[in-house]
Amino acid sequence: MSIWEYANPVKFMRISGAALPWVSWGAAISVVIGLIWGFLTPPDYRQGASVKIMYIHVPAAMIAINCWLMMLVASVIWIVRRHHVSALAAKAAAPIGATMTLIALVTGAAWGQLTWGTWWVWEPRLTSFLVLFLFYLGYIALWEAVEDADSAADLTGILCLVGSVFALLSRYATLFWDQGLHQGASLSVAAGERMSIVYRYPLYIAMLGFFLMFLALLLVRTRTEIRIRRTIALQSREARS
Amino acid sequence: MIELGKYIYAIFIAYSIGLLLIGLLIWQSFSSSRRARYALEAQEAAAKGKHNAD
Repeated sequence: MSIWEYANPVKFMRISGAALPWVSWGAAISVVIGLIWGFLTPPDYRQGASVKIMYIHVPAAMIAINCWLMMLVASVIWIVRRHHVSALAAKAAAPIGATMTLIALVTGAAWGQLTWGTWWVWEPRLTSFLVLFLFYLGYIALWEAVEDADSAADLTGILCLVGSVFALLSRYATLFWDQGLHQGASLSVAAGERMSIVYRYPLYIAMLGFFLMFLALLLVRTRTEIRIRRTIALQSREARS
Repeated sequence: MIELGKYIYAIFIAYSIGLLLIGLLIWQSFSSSRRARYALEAQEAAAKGKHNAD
């Protein structure tokens, strides 16, 4: 069986409808456990209790970047193979990504105020994240501005390709420019850089929770877009007859 | 008892705004999903009614 069969809206609705309750409950349980466990962790020897912000900041930032990359893949599939579900999935993902970027910016500002003594500084990671947020807003606005759905999908697909530069810059800014205040990756596979399991395990759970929450919201919103598209198709068919 | 000390305001801002935004996103996603489902059901019922009348 080909993976492209799942691009059929009827098949997508059937499979996503069956998966949605499981994904939603998994998201709810892991987000609650991750955030409560993270909130109960002891103060860090260097950052004090401010380390608790990590459990909402890091998962939100992770989704903010990877959501755009998911939109990139969906947009490329639309541009190359013209599967409508992929274009609608990219459209559905954008508000989730924008919200997660905003959460990462706000929680990062609060964390920065405690550790750097300032809410905002124009350094590479923060600036590229702000630009990514503006790209999300532009992407959403472009979908709303273009009346023809296929043209909107084409134009937003191109915008997504361009914006991907900033999504990647946001991810690797601390590596590209070693001059900002922002720290490097919170989680590292290098043995010497590993954070204590006291902080690491609740962070893993919170990240899993945010990923499942993203997936659940993506399924809900894509299903909504498919229904809207079907309603419009029925209305135009009725108007023609 | 959780000791937040001088960090309490920044942690409160981070969690309250973060959870508020997540709550709004979930509410908006499910309410628009419900609206779209009702609109499609109404449209399908109207189309079926018209088809039967013809």
